[in-house]
Amino acid sequence: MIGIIEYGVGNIKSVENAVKYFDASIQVDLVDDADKLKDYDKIILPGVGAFEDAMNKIRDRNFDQAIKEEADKGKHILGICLGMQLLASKSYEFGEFEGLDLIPGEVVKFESEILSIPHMGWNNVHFEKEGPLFNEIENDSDFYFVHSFHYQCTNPDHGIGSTEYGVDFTSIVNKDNVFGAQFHPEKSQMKGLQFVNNFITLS
Amino acid sequence: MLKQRLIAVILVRDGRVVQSVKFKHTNVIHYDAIHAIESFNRWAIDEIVVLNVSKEKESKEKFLEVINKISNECFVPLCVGGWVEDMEYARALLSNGADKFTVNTEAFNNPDFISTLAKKFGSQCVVVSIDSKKDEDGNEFVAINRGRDITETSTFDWAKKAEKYGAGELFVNSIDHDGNRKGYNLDLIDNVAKSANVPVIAMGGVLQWKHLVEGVNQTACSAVAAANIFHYTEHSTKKAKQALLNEELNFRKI
Repeated sequence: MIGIIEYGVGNIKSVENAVKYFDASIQVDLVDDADKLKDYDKIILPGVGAFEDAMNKIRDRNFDQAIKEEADKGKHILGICLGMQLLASKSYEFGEFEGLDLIPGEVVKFESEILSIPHMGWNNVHFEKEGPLFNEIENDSDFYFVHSFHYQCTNPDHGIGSTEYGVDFTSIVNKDNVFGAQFHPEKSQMKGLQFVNNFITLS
Repeated sequence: MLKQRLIAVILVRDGRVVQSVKFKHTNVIHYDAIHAIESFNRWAIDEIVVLNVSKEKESKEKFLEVINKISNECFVPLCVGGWVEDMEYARALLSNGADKFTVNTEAFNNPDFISTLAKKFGSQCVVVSIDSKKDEDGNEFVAINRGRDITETSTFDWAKKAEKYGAGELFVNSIDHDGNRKGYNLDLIDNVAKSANVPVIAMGGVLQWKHLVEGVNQTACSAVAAANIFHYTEHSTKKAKQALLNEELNFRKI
């Protein structure tokens, strides 16, 4: 059973559609009650918008503790876009805010005077390691991004995918059973759908 | 490296896909908009724009249903527009599965609308759509109300102003080139794109794949869009993408 955390930010219908793309019979729920999170084998944390607002909504609904508990149990968790950034220790988006601290690192703004921000559009992701998350996906494939801030892992080994936009930044993070993708796999056509499928079939 | 984008535009009137020639939407091409999405080889397209071109404001509710259906089949960014006049409707479009929306007439009449939307949803959600019409002396002016009313505002001035108010992208269409099959209005697109700091989407006039290549090579746009041409041939989006890749342009490979 796949649980997609519903905490009041943005449209998560497309994430649900992406999960069901290869197997329409798969059970996937939008979970708005933190106490129910334990019922799911795999958890997806989506998100668009601002870090502070999203983190407050997560805390208000007690999802912060629930997510950490499930992560400690070894369940597979995937953060998408802002959901990925929430896995960090802290973010400097319009202030300084604490995150879930599941993968040590900070979220910082793109420093560039020539490139337009947000980084929006299709860009290639270089896989730094091999692994089941990248099954059937050619290295350096393009995925769809929309973001103005990016993840900087404290331990470089936790960055397993990278992308170039003025600088090389970490576009996929992983520590043990917790994963995060800066791009939107649910908006990245076949390669994104394959990525989602690889996550939900992780063993 | 960030890629340029190939965008398919679907014009919808009363839930049906129509063709546009100089902003007159006559021929019904597909019975249902969802069939247009299915009939595209959608894996080659980088983004889909769906516009409600109905003259009747009452079409708004039905359009939401169309977007809801389309978004279930759409695994690329989906931008929608037409009759976006208030915050509630913008929100309704997003909650029915759109990733961003276009604003046009209301944004022109009340530029604060752009800022309000950008603050609420983020500027990446707010695409300002600009329809431009050339006068006898060759000057470009903004047209509003689905192309019917030509204003006295220069297209280039409005483009700069829209960006200042928080537009995340500019979708630039030339009424003179719409459906005329001669290719984009390259001067118009290039002049807007050169002075803009946000992505500019080129629209209007594509009949052959080479027109897409011209748009990329001869303007500073970030994306090339077309509507009618994608309905004429089988596997049209795949062929369009191949034409761009054959020229070794910076697009996402299929």
